[in-house]
Amino acid sequence: MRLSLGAGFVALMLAPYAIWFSVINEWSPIEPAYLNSAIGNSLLQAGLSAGFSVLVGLVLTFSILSESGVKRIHFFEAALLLPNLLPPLVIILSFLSWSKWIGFYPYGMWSVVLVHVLLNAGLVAVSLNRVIRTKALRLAEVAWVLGSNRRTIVWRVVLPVVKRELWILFVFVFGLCLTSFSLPLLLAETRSVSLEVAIFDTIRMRGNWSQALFLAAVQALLLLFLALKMPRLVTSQNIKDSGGSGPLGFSQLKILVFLPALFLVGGWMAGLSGGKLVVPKDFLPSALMSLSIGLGVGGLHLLLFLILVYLVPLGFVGRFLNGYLAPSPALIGFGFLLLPLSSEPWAFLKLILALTLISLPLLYRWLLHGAFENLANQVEVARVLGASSRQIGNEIVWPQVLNPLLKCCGLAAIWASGDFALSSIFLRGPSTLPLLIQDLIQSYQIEMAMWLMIPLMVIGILCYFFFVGAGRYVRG
Amino acid sequence: MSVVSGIDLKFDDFVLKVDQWEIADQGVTALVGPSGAGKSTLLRTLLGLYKCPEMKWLYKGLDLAALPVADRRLGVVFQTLDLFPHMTARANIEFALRARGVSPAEGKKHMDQLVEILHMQSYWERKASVLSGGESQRVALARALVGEPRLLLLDEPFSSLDQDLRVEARTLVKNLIEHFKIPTLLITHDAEDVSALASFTARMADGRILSG
Repeated sequence: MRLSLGAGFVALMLAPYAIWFSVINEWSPIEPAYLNSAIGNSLLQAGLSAGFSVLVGLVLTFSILSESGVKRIHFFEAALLLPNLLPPLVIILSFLSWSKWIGFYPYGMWSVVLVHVLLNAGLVAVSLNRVIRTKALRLAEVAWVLGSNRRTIVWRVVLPVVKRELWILFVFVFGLCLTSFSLPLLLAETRSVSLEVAIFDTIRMRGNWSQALFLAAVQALLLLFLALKMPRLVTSQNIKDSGGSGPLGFSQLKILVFLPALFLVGGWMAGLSGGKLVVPKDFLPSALMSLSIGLGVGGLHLLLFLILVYLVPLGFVGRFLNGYLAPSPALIGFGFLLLPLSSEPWAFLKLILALTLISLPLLYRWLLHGAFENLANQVEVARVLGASSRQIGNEIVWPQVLNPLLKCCGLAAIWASGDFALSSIFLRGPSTLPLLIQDLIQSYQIEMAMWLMIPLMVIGILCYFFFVGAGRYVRG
Repeated sequence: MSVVSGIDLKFDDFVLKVDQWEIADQGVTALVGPSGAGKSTLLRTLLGLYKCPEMKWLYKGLDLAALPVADRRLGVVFQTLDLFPHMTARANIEFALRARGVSPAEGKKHMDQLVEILHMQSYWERKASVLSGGESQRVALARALVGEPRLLLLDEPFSSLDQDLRVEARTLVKNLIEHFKIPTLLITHDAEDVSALASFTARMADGRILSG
């Protein structure tokens, strides 16, 4: 039973590939020049995005390492992670708003890279902060006591110790940027398409599904290579008060912690100040649709995570999720379009499932894997004591993973309520708030789009607190 | 005597091989040996946490190795104790009762007895995450014993305690084992544990039982 449930879970994650390979019988190779250009652009874009994200993330790490109080560290981490917690549309709009304010629209690869860095540098910094506190802080203190200066400590002690983790984070961000869909779709130039956008264009513009499958297969091979090369990042789940800023306390860098948040808020303020809210005629149904998508995706995450709770110890399912990078949104989106049942309610359900298949592996790896791993010893003892999977799930795993699990559902709901890329594949017309916003962006009405972001953010927050609040109710 | 045989497990850089080994079915059998000898690996194999299809463990006419982990009906206290931190001391022990399917009335009788012997009254309703080392160890022992296991397996149970507490804990464990008359396998590298508790001793090195 457990084995078949686990196998079913893995099969569901891999379903998009299976759909493509079962539906398309004919392989049609794409023109070599187009393929080479798409691969080259993807690798360059992902490489630059990952490289700069790790570099900027490293600088941000030293700004947060000067903090010793646990509460302040958590506050700083939240500030750094703010761009990750919001739908990408918010970051794109802030970016466009700044661009308009400056009077320069940098469409193309560098704008995609810049937004990727804004999105991922904070995530890198938070991970590195925990790695350095776990692995290198005590060594740095020893070197400091021995008389080394801070520059020597950073270059000769800290960086060599965390070299492996820097590489892992590079590969992780590289994988995220390689499958990035919404940003290149809005910000990239037509002549420098990435693999992701090429898959989209090949279907939408040329209607050639077999060529798109060929591109998707190339991307899947790249993702598989990355997944095999990516060991697990081991960091401490809990931060302890380190009792002082110590040898790595570059307090003059502290202001940088708020840079991503300032960028977002500044861009938003600049955008709002230039226009006024005009409520579009489809506002209410679009808002309700966005809310439904958010709640639907959060709910499906909850259901799938509950299966994991009763599968603990996760065994091959855990190893799979920890090494699996979700396929491209275009591949999932168009793959599901190939399935029968395309009427309105089915399209909505397919969208919910597609969004879930994209965010679930990322959220598991980011927030849940450690929580499940930490329970391994307790679960072993419970098994020896004679407990059933149900008792272990109900009494050991569920109460201890409830908080991170519901946070994951809330985050998935925020991201889903702000999705426009996959929604544009499944839904007709501007039937969600993000699709309305996308229309406004494409007609250069940035200020109007900024105003519409307010109800979208409210919907995201409502979705998040629906799931986190549900946790309080369950605990109560 | 229970007889363990046919263990042949290969890990990356380590082989555990036990052709035949007898564990006393009364008193304490101590398994001693240096770190890395394979004591804990052997214990995990006996518990069923490592799969070993060739293994046999004949105990009173029953092959325990052929049973699933839960049905072997063993009690265990690991070095790390592994109490469920979100539960109280009482809830930790009630968990084991439910796992073994003990009726509430019978369970209460067992619990009252253990609370009395282990002097757990003062922290009975306290969360496991805030218990001291000595208190945690008593709860872990009670949790292992409350389901009336066939054997009690102790993996370096005193190593996380300071010197004063160790002496007290050894006495406590000795009294418990004598009171419940439960055969016990004690894994340790501490000679004092052996002299205080063991009726029989087996030595282990490089993944093999050398004597006992």
